[in-house]
Amino acid sequence: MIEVKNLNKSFGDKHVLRNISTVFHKGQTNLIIGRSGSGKTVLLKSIVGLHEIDSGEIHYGDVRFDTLNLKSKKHLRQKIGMLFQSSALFDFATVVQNVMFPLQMFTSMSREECLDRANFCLKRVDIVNSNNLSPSEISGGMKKRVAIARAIALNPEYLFCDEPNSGLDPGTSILIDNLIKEITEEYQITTIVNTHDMNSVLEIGDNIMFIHEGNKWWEGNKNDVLHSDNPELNDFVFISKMAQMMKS
Amino acid sequence: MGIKNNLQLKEFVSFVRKEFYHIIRDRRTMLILLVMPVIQIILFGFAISTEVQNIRLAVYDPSNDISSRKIIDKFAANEYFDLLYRLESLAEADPLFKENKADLLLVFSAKFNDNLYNSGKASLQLIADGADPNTATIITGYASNILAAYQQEIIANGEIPYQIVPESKLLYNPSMKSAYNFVPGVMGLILMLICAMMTSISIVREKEQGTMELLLASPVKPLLIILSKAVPYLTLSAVNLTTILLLSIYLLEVPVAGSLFWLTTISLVFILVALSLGLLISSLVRTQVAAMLASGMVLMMPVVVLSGMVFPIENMPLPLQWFSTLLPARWYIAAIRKVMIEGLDIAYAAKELGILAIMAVVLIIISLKKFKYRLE
Repeated sequence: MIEVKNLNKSFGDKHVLRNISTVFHKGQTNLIIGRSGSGKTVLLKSIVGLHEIDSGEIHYGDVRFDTLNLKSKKHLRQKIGMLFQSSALFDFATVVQNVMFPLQMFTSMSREECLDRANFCLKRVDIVNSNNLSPSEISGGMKKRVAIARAIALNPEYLFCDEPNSGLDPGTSILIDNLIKEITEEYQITTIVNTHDMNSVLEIGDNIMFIHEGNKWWEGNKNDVLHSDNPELNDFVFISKMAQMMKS
Repeated sequence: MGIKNNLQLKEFVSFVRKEFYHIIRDRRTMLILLVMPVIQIILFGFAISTEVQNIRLAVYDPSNDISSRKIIDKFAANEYFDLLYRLESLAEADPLFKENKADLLLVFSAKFNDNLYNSGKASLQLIADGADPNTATIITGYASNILAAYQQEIIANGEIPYQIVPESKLLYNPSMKSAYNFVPGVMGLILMLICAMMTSISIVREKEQGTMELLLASPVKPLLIILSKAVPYLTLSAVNLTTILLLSIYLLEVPVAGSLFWLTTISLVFILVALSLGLLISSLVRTQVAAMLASGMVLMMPVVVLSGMVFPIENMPLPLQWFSTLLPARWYIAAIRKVMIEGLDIAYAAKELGILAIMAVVLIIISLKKFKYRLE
């Protein structure tokens, strides 16, 4: 479980996040949704520690994260898996080497053990017979799956996904969404997904937080999101013709 | 404690290995990094030379006497000159220069020999193409030397009891090879290029691809990221330094006259300066193109133009001379000239080494402080 209390973050004069408080639950897919520029990526990166917050608190379980020094954060960061919008695979390494990278870096496992674990993770995300391909030789959807395999290689307790469906076709997006949800439930991970894809919201949104102009504007789940009377949320959710038809 | 240290070492080794893979898998970059010093040494050593050879000579000799013929024979026998044209009239000279067929014209006065022996004064005009003033100055210099040698010869055979025979000796570079001047400069250029430009591009590439975020969010210490980025380029620089030295010794015949130990030490300090400059650039820019431009414009151009590699610093306007004191390459090239070319003791290069060491410490501190542990 991750808890955020009264989090504020500014860049110069620009106040990007205002007094955000919420709880991200263990074993559930927690979604942060909002328009581009609403502050959801800053929130995600602040929670991971890639941005220093101005005020507020971030708790990973019983541990207050934002006041830890770099050395103390190291231990906690071993429990974090990250999936970036760009997949962030090392282009010089093969598929299997990418997944083995965190294992070789941060565990005392032998090369064979790392390889076994990498193969297990790749199999879990349905990547087979592609170990020796380089990232440039695989599709966008495969890259995302390899990135997920790498993110779960260290058996993380926390998984952060920034726009995991960006650049993917609708079918592949659903596959990736379902994979994230399955892994979250299977390994009881606290997963936070940053998205503005309404398909994802309706597919996997166990908990949803809507951010508007840096404020927490609405909170609920995938069943509530279509029936809210919050005008800003409705503007966001029913922006497409298809969504408007669904509502009517 | 031991297990913890082993893990940290393992992290470091894995990270350095990753960086080496990064370079090795990118074969084009690898090729550029390893072949570039060879090409630059060949270019600067042979193609870019201040020596002028194969000078196309034209002669107008209305006198056609024993002295003028002797002088012409001396020019014809000289390795730098090719006697191509014997003119019948001065009017033939103009088209030769206009069509770029001649570099130097010797014009003898009428009754050259008579005037020389009777009045002790005979005129001989040297006409060179001044469009390229450097080449023209060098060519007329060569010609004047030949004429001076001839004069010495006839004075020696005469009855003059005393004569002053000047004998020039060029210290450190007796054969006046351009390579003696360029090798230290090329060393500075290559090391700056590989360490500063490649380090900055390598870090910025990770930012662009998003892998830097991944690394910063991982348990790895930021200092480890920096160190592991530096190690492969330090290794490559050592390989290139060895290549340059071997090429200069065996291909350009420029020996290491001084201490190899101090030559290596000075180079290592310079490499540290260049690496920290690369790190500093990477923390100031966001794209690979910007990193390349910043390295190229801020580091490379001043190294070539203002460090004394090509143009003497003493000839520059004062503000540029002051500016050049800020360039690490200026001090590196000066130190290498002293140790490698002149074979001087390190005491003579202590000032340059000291300045480089101070620059290294200051730049390392600044670049480590500027390196963004977070994304802001």
